[in-house]
Amino acid sequence: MQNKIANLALLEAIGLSQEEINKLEYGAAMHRRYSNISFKIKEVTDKQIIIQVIQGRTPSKNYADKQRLIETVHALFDKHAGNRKVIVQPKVYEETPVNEVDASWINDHMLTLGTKLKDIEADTGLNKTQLSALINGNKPISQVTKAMFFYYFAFKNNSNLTPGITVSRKP
Amino acid sequence: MITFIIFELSKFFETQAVGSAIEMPLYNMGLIDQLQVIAQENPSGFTVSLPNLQFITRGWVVAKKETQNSFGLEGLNRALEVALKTSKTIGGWQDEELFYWDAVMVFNNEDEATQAGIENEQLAIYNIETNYLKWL
Repeated sequence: MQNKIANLALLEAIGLSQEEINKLEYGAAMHRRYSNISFKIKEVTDKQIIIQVIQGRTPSKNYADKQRLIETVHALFDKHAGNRKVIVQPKVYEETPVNEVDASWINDHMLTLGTKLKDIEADTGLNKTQLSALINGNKPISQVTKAMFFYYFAFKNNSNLTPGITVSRKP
Repeated sequence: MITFIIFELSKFFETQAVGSAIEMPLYNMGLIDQLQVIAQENPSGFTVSLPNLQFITRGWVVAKKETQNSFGLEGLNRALEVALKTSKTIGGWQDEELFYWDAVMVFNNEDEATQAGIENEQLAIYNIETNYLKWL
């Protein structure tokens, strides 16, 4: 079975009980499930434990800063570290501009660039009913569709679509 | 020209999709289908209110014990049935090959959440806004 904490075996090797391991795994599972925060044991010595903590994209959009990630690691691991010092390597989530795309973003860009529903229909092959459901904000927009709209309007906003192009986030 | 580029982009994005369901017309889907799409998009985990499928972003979340170990389509049906009758909130997460589902309760008050967690035999509760785990 795959561990919730990467390289957990490094902690098992220093004599943590199965009960302690289970508790760490349970806590890590909750952090992943609700906040997409994950942990990796990088190194264990007689004096210290180095733990990497990373937050990925989470639908709650509640992103921890470095300090909060460090606190999260200490709250979970310190009591199991014995005399070892817990060193944290935090990596905060960096939002991709594609995630800004929602119904409001699409409507703003349509208005600013003078793009009609029938234009998008003609350019993408998506039918009007599908598009209306997305643009009215009644239905969730998948990550793939967000990316499609982001680069669609990036192209409309720039005469050349080339790698590394800078796209303004707001029209 | 623009049609060609968008067509190529669409082909690229389709190949990046986790599953074909993600490109299905959402407006035509039932609640279960829409939850499965959200699950594909958020395999690490998510929690949504019912029936409007809005992501929960605040409060203490407490899993209901009657939906523990619910996975797959059968688990989704069970968790959805419980959630619709009670807390109107459902969540899910992928663990290796299986996707697990549970009905959850959301509280603004920590004491009420703590009590609910104990009653539902949970080891911990979670504040989804502050990413804070509270052991019980």
